[in-house]
Amino acid sequence: MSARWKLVLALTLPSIVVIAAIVWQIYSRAAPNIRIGVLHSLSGTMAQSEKPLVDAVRLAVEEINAQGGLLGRKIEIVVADGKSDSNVFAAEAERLISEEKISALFACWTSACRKAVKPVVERHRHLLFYPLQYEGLEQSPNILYTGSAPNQQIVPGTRWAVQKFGPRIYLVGSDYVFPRTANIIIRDLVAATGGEILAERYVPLGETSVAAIIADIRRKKPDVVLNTLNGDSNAAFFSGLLEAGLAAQPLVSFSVAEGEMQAWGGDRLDQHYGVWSYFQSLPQAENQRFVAAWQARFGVSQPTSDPVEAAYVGVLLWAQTVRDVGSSEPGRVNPALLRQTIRSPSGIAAVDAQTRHLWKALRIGKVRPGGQFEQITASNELLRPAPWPHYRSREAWDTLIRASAREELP
Amino acid sequence: MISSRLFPRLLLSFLLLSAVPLAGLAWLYTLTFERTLQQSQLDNLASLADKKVDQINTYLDERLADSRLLANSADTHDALKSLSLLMPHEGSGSRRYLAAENRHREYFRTLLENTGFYDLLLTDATDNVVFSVLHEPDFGSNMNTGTYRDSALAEAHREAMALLGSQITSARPYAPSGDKPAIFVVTPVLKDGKILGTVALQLDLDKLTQVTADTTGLGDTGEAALAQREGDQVLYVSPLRRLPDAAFSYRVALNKTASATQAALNGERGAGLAADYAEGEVIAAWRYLPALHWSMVVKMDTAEAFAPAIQLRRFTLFAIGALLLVASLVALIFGRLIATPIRNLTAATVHMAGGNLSQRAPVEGAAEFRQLAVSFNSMAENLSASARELEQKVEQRTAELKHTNAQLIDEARERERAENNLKLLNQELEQRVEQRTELLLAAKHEAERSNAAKSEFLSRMSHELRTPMNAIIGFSQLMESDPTHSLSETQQDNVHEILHAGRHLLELINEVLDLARIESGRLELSPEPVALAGLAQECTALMRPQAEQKRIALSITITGNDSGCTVLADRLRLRQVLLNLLSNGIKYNRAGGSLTLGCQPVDSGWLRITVRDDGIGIAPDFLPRLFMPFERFDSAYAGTEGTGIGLALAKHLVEGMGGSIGVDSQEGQGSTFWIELPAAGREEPLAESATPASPVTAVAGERQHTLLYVEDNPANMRLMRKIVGGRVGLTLLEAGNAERGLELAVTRRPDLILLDINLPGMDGFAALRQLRDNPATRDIPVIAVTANAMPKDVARGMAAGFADYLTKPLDVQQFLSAVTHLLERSSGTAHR
Repeated sequence: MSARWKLVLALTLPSIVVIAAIVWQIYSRAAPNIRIGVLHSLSGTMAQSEKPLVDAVRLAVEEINAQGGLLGRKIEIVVADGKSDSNVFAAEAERLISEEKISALFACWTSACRKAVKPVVERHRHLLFYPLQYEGLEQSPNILYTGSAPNQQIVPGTRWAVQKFGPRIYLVGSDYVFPRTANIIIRDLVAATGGEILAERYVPLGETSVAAIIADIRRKKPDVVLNTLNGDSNAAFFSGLLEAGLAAQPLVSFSVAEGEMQAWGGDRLDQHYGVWSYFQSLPQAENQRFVAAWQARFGVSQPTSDPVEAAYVGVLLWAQTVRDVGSSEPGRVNPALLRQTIRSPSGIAAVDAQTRHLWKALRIGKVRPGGQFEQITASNELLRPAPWPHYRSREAWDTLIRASAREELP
Repeated sequence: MISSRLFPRLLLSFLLLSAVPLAGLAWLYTLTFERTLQQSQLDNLASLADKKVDQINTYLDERLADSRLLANSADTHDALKSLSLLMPHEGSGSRRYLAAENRHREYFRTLLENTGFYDLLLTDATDNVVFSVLHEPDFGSNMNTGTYRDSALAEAHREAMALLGSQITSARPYAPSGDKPAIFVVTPVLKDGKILGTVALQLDLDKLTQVTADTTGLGDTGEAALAQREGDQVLYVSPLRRLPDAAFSYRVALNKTASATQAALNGERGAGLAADYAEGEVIAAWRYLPALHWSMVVKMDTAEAFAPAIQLRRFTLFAIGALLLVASLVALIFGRLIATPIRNLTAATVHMAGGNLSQRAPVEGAAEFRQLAVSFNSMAENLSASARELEQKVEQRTAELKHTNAQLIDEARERERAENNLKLLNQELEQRVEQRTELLLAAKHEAERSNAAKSEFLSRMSHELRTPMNAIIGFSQLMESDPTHSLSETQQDNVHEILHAGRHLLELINEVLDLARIESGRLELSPEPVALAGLAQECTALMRPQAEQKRIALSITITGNDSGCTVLADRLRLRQVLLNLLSNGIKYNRAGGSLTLGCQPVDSGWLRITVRDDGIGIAPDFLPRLFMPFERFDSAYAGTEGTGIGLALAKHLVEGMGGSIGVDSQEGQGSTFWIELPAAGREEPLAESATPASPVTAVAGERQHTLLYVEDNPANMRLMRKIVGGRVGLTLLEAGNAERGLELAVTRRPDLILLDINLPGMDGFAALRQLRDNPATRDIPVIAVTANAMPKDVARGMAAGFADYLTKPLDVQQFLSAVTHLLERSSGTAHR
């Protein structure tokens, strides 16, 4: 090697090394993960219902990460246990937001829980995705409601039941805000359009002695029973009906999805219907892909459900918004979230900016052995969410709800 | 040289330093710009799309709010209550209805005008349209039972009543409004929990689609397209830039429509490059509007959207091009600046190296180059000074040398002059020789030409003479040997004389022919070893009768033994020469003289044959002409028989055999003729010469044979008749020409054909070919009988296929033996 080459090498090699080092430094700096909080009851009475929602968020996150993540970063899930206790939920939400520095919170099943977490996310101007159908009458600037509002489930469900089975209605529900509000709305509907409410009965959450109600139903022979029971009470209720020889009694359950239907034996009844915006049995390709991915990840025995889909869609909407605004900061994501539309397993998921709810389809399905629904009818179009029926002022609604909550149980 | 090496390096350096990094940067910059531009265009389109979607949503939300406001207003409650009572009972035309309507009309009309609806309708709980601002045909109809029970309004009315919720219909043609597309916002009206009916706002669609008419920020090709799904089809609800009448009329199959529209109708939201409905490439943002189930695609042609990038790219390319040009020019100029002084300096050194010491380098260019040039010039100065000294010395020496040189040159010039004179003389001589040679050559050609003419003449003469000679000798022979008519002695002598003279004549003719042949170079000699002793005996034996007539003693003195005297010669011709010399020796001898044939070896392989007589000798002045043809030593020997060509022929023959001939003579004391020939080894034993022809009187065998003779000369024909007539077993057929001969050959099938060559018309050769070509005559032997005795004629005849070739005059014995021989052979063949 000549001296000239040595000189050239001596000059160029250090430059190359320096440049390579700079490039390596720039590109090797690992972008920090985007953290999201998932807060559901992993223990307590709601654990069985809520666990699949954690899985739904997990599946969506894993799919997004598999496609390269968001803004070149991976999404990391921080899971917290709400222990079926709204106080724990509020505390955990606070912790996730303040300490875990999450970018979004996917949380809650029950309305009580939601109402406990709501002040926390509002105080932090944070962002909560709530995946359940619920009683409505709420709109927080920091919550996106991905479940159905009453006008997307209860109202058209009731109307369908009356048209199908007759105007004599028997109302059964758990004793908390959702069933009571739902029943107020049902009463309005019946009052306006004709019909008869034979009875309106409530049982405490977790209560399994429903014999009195069964006996009452037997006696009154309603055209249809509208069921807003939540939790284990349903199992007792279904068994009671069966035992009382009321297997053929038309029954519309508003809060029992595929998983619970199987677990609580709702499929033993002959005239049992569910009202949701999503069924696992939906035939469209988008749902087939979703169910296949779900079962591949969590097992064939794990059914999807309307809340699962709503939780899954919530993550997708959030992710698309993050891409749109180029940031995962809640303050920037929140306004842009209101313009989002995506293809979802149930069809199209579109955010209504006015109400912060999703446009939702109405689907009515007959319960089949195994707990799956067979869709009988569905709305032609997506229904505009209306958390507050317009015919009464919000203040009037609040008064009504409070009054209802104070009513003594019969 | 220098610039051609320096320039590329400089150019490369300049490019590496300026153009290449700049080009790289420009490329990087352009790429970044393109990406940024695309992103910013996409962002722009996305925000425009969002804005437009918001506009539509806001408009709808406001109308929804309007309708809810109306549904809760006391005026609406009053109107519905009063009108729904009046309409079914008294009709819309009744005075009381009109009065009641009039009361509410002002309120609703003002509202309509202020908020910009198309129409406002009140439908009561029994589904009658009890109020309408515009009074279109739907006014007064029943939405559950009437004509328009399936209209969008009717459906929305029923839904609103059943669900107690506001309904917004999708855009559909509405029959009462002349099938104009319509959107209704329908809200149920409740009073104390009881439904009174619905209030419906028929929206002004133009206000909605106007949103798309605003193309601010979309450039020249941009637009916003609204579409809704109808089954498997897509219906565009806004005008399109390329299809101004597209609104509510342009339908495309869902899977055929623009990908962006498809995506939006499937609920997707996004932005990017996409295919257009007009099959161009566009940059687009697409949105789904759930309220109306519409898709909105805001798009721009990529050509326009990316025009700045394209322009930048062009400009960059141009700039890089210009930069390259400038870099090259600068490199060139720098190259020149550096190279020119170096080149000039180099040129100066080259000149100096070439000896031009007065050459100075130009002082130019950069300071370094100037200094170099100055140093160079001072060096050159020193060099030239020392060179001048040297030159002076050299000049002195040169002057001396020049002097000596001049002397030498003078001498050389004189020498040269002498040489030139010699050269001139020489040239003159050469010219003369050339002239002579030309004259000689002309003369030689002339001589050769006349010689050839002479040979030709002799050859023809020989032929012409032979023909009559044939008759003379032939008939004489017949007479001499005719057994039937024996001649008297006198007659016998006469015939003998005729024959003698005839043969002499023939001999003369042959000699003349030989000479002619020799002179025309056509005599062929075949040298072989010849033992002289035998030949001498043979010749002296032949000459002895002549010698005895003149009483001349003939002797042979061959020194050495027999084998010693063997020469290389053509035996036949040597014999001819010897006979000629001996004959001369007898002719020109005195009576009673002597003649001696001798042979002595001469030195180095040559033999000398001598014929010495003791006659009168030859006069010296005649000696040079002695061997010329037709020269005769006549003066002393008048009357002596001779042709005068014998010696000439002998000379030619001997020289033809590679030897020489000459004579030593003294007048009155005799002459000695000598021949010198190369000596040879022993003579080959002589093949036995053909048996002498025995007289043939009859042809062998008793068979009758037929001969055909084709001959135009009557004398020859007569001779043949005579020859054949006397033979038993031979019949002669005669033909005067070839044609007749061929005819006879075919018809009579002779055993032998005798054919003259020189025939009138068809000649002998042609006749032979015809005979050979005809199967009938192919096997008949043919003998040529002709006066063409030249050897080439014989060779040609034998080659043509004649069985034998006999020359005239015919020797009767020879002729008969040839005929007999051929007849025997052919009959033998026939019998076989």
